[in-house]
Amino acid sequence: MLKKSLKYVIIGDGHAGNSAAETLRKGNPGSEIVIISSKPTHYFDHSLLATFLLDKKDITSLYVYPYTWYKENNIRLRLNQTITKVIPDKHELILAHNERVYYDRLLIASGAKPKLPESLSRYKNLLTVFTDAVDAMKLRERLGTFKHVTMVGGDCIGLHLAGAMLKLGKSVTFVLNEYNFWPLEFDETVKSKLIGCLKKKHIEVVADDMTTEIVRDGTGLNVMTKNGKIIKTDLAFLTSGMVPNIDFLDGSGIDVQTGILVDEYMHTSAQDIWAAGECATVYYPELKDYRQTTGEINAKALGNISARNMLDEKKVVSLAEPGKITIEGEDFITYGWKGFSIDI
Amino acid sequence: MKEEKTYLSSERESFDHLTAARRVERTVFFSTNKKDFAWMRENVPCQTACPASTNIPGYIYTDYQERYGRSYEINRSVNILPGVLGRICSRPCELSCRHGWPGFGESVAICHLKRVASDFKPEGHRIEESMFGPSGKKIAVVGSGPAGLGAAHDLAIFGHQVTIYEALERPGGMLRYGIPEFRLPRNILDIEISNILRLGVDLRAGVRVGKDIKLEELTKGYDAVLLTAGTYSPNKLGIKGETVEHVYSGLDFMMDANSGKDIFVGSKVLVVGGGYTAMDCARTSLRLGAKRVIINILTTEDYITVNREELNEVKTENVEIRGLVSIEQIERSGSNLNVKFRRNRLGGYSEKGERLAVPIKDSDFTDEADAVIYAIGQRPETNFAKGVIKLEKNSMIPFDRSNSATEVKGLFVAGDFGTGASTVIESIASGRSAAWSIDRYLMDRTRRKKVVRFEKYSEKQRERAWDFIPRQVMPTLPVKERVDQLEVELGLNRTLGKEESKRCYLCSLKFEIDVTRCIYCRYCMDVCPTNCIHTTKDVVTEEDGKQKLLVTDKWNEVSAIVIDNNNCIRCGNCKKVCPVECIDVVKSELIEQDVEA
Repeated sequence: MLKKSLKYVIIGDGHAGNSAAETLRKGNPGSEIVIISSKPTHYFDHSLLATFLLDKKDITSLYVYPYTWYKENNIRLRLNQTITKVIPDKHELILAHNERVYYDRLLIASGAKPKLPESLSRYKNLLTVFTDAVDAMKLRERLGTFKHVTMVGGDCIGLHLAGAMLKLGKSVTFVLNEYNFWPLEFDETVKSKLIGCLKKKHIEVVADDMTTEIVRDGTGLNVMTKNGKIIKTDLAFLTSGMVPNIDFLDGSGIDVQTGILVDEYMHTSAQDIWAAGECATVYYPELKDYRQTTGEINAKALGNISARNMLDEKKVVSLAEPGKITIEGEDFITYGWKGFSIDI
Repeated sequence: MKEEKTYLSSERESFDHLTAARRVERTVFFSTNKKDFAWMRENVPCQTACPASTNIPGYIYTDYQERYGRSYEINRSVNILPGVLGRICSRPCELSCRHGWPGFGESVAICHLKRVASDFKPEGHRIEESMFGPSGKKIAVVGSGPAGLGAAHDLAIFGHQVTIYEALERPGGMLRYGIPEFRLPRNILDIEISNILRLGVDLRAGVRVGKDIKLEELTKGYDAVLLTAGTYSPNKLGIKGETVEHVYSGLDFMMDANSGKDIFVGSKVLVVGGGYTAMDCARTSLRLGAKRVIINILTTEDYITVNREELNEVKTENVEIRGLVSIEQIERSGSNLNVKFRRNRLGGYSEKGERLAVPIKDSDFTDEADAVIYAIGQRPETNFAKGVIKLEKNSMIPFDRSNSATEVKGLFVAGDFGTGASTVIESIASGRSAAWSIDRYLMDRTRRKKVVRFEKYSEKQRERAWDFIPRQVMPTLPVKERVDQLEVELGLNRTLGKEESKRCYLCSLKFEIDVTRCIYCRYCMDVCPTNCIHTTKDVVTEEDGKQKLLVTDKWNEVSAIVIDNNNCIRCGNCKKVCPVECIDVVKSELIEQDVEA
């Protein structure tokens, strides 16, 4: 247990950030802990996001902890606060409203945002995203306005969302590109098994193909593929995985490679700054490789390891156990997510 | 500063709305005062960053006026190959563009606007050249790449008889043999090379100096010889397996591909290197039939020289980038190549400012491939010069970088051949600079100089609303249509070009408050979006000509209200609200001029 009284600041209110906050509170009861998040809603369970569309429950039903939990644990939660700059030399963060926040030790757990493949960057405005509670609330309001949806790419949230759409009586098309279907271990066996399962659910699957263009067609869209297929749809969901949400680090001098580069102790290239969760690119000695992990299991584990290192323990990161998703009773191994199923 | 003449611009449409009296008021000055050069350096960051000192605000404004021919000529007067550079320039200007500074948005698409000028200049557009009389001097230029072409152009303008010796079949050097046609269509290159040859330059292609003709013969037969033979010796990996079949240097690979030779790439290609050649090799491999291409770089994407748009196109074509790896060994295993790599972490910085990669212990791994292409730089092949000049230990030719001269009288060096691999725009600038030095050497006097040209404007030239126009996206060929050598970037059309040209702050406009007329009402300060107008007690000129404002909040100390042009975005708000019209706009341009002018 660390006895020094330190100010820990955590950027991000997701799995990694909250896991770290818990560990830090236990490991250093006298410390000051602040979580800063740009989101208006707080820590929610991703696996409930799609089912939220099916009922009329309040948004708080998604939350992992009630607000009172933070008070009880003496953790200050600052929502809707955007960080614009990190100044490692001064141990300072600058917020959008020009406030400067000092830290002794900083954890960046700012998560990820939907990945927009370079080839689709010009169609950004025609794609719908579904990654957080606000997206879920917005989508729930317009459920009556569309009949057919297309999943561009494919990821766990996309599968889960497809399940909800089927349940709501919508028809679904998947444009399955192996490089975008993430984070499944995606070889030929998995692919054919997955396609079979999706088809059993009456999902149209466009396999071995990729979306190249999206154009407006009246009130709907035409999604066009590399192999010349034109899919007429009402909504095109961007489900091509996620990329780290780290734009605010520009100019900070912290090393990044897609995500924030951290060593096996989750430490960044800047003094007193660690990173965890989907925003981090972690070197795993057991893999002899850097890996950017996704999902609840990994984020929680990385948040915990980071916090222990922030408490002056010397803990080396290790890969978490894989999770699984189920489709038509079949299990698919994932690296990070758990609790997802298309069989809603 | 000397006053030159009253300027009447009867031929320029944009002045038509001015009264005759206002036109006569337009006065032009030329200056060689170091204070004015310092102002240009500090305030026009794009032109400062351009190795050729292209008058970027000047050509963008003429694009806006839809005077594309004029825009093309503003470019061509210093960078010689606007159609080429408008496609493949490395764009150091865009990294410096004030519009890209923090808080101001994205930089202007300067390079794309160069191409707009080239694409939309009128058919049969008049090439402007102002030639000196014949000097009777003969000069040999060895190599017809960008440095050689830039030098040949200026030497011909100076009135010298120029002969280019080119070892390869056709002129252009790396522009033709290094860069793929899908980035640089050859008809564009051919036209711009012919504009140089038409000045009376003699091209002897297929003649390799050192083999078909000795360098000694040139030094004896010509008044001066300029070596711009490029870098045709690829750097080696220095690892086991480098010479096995289907392992290519990037340079050889691109030269063979651009010469139309059959090259085996197989299904999976590993490219090693993070420069433009590596990117070209990867994209060319796809066009030759590869299904998967991975570019392996030592550090991360943040530390490679390739610009973001190029990297975006590479990724759009589904090329993968694997960062933080070093290649260790290549082994053939049946029809496959087993390639051993090691992971890196980022280290410190080299003396040259390059980010270093540090290998991670016990992190080696093996990947398989059908072909490996390494593009890790290239060096000049200098053996042919050995009998004429003593080479340095690293086989480079020693020369004075200030004037391109070697220790051998009449022998000059320029471009990549002198410095090692650089960019096309650096090479052109280097070639032209060497041409000016050769002219001084031959004529024993300086005949061209750089000056700052001032012209007073009564209008502010742009609107504040234009600051919010987003950067226009370059239209590109859909991925599925990117076959063979079809050009990928389609160019901004006239509408997009006009919109993009509005985004330029026109940093060459100098906004100045005339303190003799200023009534200190501070309206200008209230409407300034960047807080660049200050109350000052003095303006201090430093030794290098740079000016520093001594800002004060105390009214009893204020001697003037001054616009800090370095933070000014030339929106014109201040001029619009000034009740006494005491804010002047002066266009300041760094241009080239005859010494006698």
